[in-house]
Amino acid sequence: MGKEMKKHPIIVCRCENVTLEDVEKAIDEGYTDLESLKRKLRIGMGPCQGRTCLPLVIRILARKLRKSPDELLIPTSRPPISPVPMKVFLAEGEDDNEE
Amino acid sequence: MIMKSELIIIGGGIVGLYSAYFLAEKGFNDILILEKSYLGSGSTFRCATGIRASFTTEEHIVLLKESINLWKKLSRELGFYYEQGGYIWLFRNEEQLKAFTEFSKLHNKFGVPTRIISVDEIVEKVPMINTEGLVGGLFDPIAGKASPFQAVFSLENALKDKGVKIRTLTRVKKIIAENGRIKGVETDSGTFEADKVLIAAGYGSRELAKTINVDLPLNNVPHHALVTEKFKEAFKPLLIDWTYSAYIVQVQHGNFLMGMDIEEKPQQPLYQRVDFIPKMARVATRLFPWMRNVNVLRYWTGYYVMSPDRHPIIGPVEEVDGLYIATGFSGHGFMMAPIAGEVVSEWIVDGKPKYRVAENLTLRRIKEGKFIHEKAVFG
Amino acid sequence: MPSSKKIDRRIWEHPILEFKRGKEVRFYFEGEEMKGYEGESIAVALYASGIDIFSWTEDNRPRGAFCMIGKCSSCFMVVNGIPNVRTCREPVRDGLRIERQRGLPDIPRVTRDEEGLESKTLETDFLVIGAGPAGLSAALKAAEYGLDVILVEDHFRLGGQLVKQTHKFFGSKDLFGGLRGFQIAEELSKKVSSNPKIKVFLETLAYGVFKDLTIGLASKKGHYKVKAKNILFSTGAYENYLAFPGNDLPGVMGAGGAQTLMNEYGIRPGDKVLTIGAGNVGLIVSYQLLQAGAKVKAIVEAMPQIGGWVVHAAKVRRYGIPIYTRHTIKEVWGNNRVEGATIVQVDEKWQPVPGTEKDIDCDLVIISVGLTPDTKLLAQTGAKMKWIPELGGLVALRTKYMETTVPGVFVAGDAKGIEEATTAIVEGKIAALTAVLRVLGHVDKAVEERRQLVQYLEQYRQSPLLSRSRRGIEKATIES
Repeated sequence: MGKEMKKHPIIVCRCENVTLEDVEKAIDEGYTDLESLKRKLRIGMGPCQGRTCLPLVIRILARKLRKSPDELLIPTSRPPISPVPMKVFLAEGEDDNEE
Repeated sequence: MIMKSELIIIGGGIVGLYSAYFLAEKGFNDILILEKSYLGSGSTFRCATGIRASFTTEEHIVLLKESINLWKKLSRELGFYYEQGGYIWLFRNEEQLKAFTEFSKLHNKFGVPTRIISVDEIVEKVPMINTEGLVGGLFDPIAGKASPFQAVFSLENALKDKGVKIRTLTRVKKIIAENGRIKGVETDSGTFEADKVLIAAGYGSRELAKTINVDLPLNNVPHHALVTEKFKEAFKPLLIDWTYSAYIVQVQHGNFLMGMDIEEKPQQPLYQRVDFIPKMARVATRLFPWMRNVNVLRYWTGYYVMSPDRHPIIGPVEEVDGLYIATGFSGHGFMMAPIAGEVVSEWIVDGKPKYRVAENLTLRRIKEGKFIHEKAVFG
Repeated sequence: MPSSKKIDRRIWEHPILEFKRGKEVRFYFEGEEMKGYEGESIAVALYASGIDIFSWTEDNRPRGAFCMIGKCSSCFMVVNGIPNVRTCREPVRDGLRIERQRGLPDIPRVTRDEEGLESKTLETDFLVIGAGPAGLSAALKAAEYGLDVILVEDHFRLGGQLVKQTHKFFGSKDLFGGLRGFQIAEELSKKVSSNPKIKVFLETLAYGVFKDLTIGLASKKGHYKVKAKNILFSTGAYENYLAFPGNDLPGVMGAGGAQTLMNEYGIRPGDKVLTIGAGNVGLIVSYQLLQAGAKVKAIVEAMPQIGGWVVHAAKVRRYGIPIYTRHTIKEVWGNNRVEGATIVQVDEKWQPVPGTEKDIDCDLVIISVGLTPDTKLLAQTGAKMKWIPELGGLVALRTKYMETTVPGVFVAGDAKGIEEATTAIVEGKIAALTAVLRVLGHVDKAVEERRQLVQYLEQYRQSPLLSRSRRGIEKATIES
């Protein structure tokens, strides 16, 4: 039946197309915190800001290293939390210096 | 158990890593690198990724020209992204054009082939630019860009192969000296002994130097950058809109990375400022009106570690035997890291750097007030 | 190749829901004219017409609907020459020209339509971010005591996930017992929209926390900086993903995505379904799929027992849907979309047991393996966070009055930890009352009302059905 159809990879990061194999390989190579994995594989650097991949990778990493996720350097959340088109920011307003 | 190494490098950023690399190349590999968080977590992973030699002093031009050669060589050997896509400095009035025409003469004198280009030539290289208000530019053909992430990870692997030890999540609290010579460092995971210490700790350097009564007159000034979503390659050079102290570059993966100077006080903690994205968006859409419909993906802040004359402080500290510094890169640490690392290795192993001009960059010049002022930098 | 076969996945007869579709609109997809209805998003209108592939990745993998609530990036398409448009949130309109994105997009065309965009600084007593049950309840409660409220929601509709719930709620009349989720959403939304003290910003994203807790808002109308005396993060949660071969194919969707399609827009998400996960969400969504006219072939649950409540499991069983415990998904197959799946039994160590594979003929696979609180914005305030698995992940530490370690910063609803709509409603009120007390000083009525609500929650959470979240909340609660 359909199983003769093409084999599909296991995708962990949909935005940057990172597979489970990529993640496990990187962890085995010694990238054992999320900040480093993020820079190495680009997980969490796409438009979904890690919502899809990070919880999955946190669980994989925590299981492999037998550590609590608190110890895994969960990446800092940065604005904007969802992509925003630049034109939104063009309106003239009181954008003076903050101080 | 107290570990002893010949050299402890404080700081796992691009400068610390390149320093260890060049030292190891000279056979000096009894090195321990101590990084308080993860490698690159300081300014390295936050930088603009640009590499140029088009500065305004002999020190910068000569050393960065060599740094570019090292970037080219090592990116191939170690396998990370580096591209010599050039820089274009964009000018909006005649004074700027005149000033940079003079600078270009200095570049050419030292073998850096920059040249003034017309607006038409700018359009040839960046077809989708809005030329309104531009009067011309300076093209630096040997400038380029690289991936800080890939560079750090490749260096890390190379160093491990060479037997250099790296400890992350280890914060140095104090540098220890006795009778004017280095003894080691005290960290949050215990004491480590060493005959030599290199402070390559970016924005942490000033505080660390204080622990050993060395005054480094550096100012940590927050800087801001943002990155957009990815697109097919649109232009190769890194662009500097000199009037607005802004830069825009397209990184390897297709995102546009950009930043600009906004007024900041030194030693401020890194705050996210609500006025940065609007200011940046105005500059970006002035140059590229189509960026109105480009999404901002992420905004972050990082430090420029500013020295009084915008040149780094590299070399031995005379007051303390065995103490070396490589910091104060004033916003161009990433590009200088290879040559800085090589100069550090020459100070430590050979007692003197190969390039005479590198000797002008020690702490002594600061103490003697012999500042070398750099003009072609932001801030 | 655009299909000439006219597919219509819209549900025209539903046992519980009545879909009010707006006027018909005509738009173009890859050159072909299509129709949609005002009130639908672009992704919805396309899906309704049988378009399930929205884009092709750089490695030529097809992508389609996944979360449908603006949290993933699977629905990005080129709209009128502008790439990376989040079509699950972009309303469909007459004349739009839509194309699939293929790999990296070209730079967009220029538009100069920012006339009328404004940039303003707003001040308020109470900023509520997220208009689900917690946010709506909080806004109403604060307005009741005279506070000025700004309510921000990034969708074009109030109600959050309540809008998609068709089952009747349990509990007291105060807490909408006997009403269906979408009816509660309607009631709360109506009250909020007509309340003069509540300024509502729809299609507005609270995108960042800046110095001194200034919150940045972004919408098609412009950019706003809000300086609020109190801020409530009622930002809900998002679906967990699952790692199995084929998990990015069109036809693999989060449970919430399927719910959005069928209950918010009246689109049947698939015809033959496999549900992964037998927690409440998995069971409820399976039941809702039946209501939407789909056939649920099986539900798999890796644990030895069903995680959801008996009442939901019973409903599902009554319809003859097999629930396979100690089973998980092995893989999904198909050329460019789900055409079938294989499930397999797992042993005590979660390892697949060879020889127990079963093929399931399906065209839709629903992932329902838990939710993660959406605390991305809250984390930027500097509030102390902690990883608490019973609550779904990284959550803020907070007092019993829902205040985090940053004074004036509150959390309520699924953003504080995964629980349910009823607790979200009560928490929203508690947070609002605390904000009221911060603004007005001591008010007997508010103090007493808050005390009663806190007590109610403590009692409500004694139920064995809530033991997991109760344990999590104990870990998250700090002294006031």
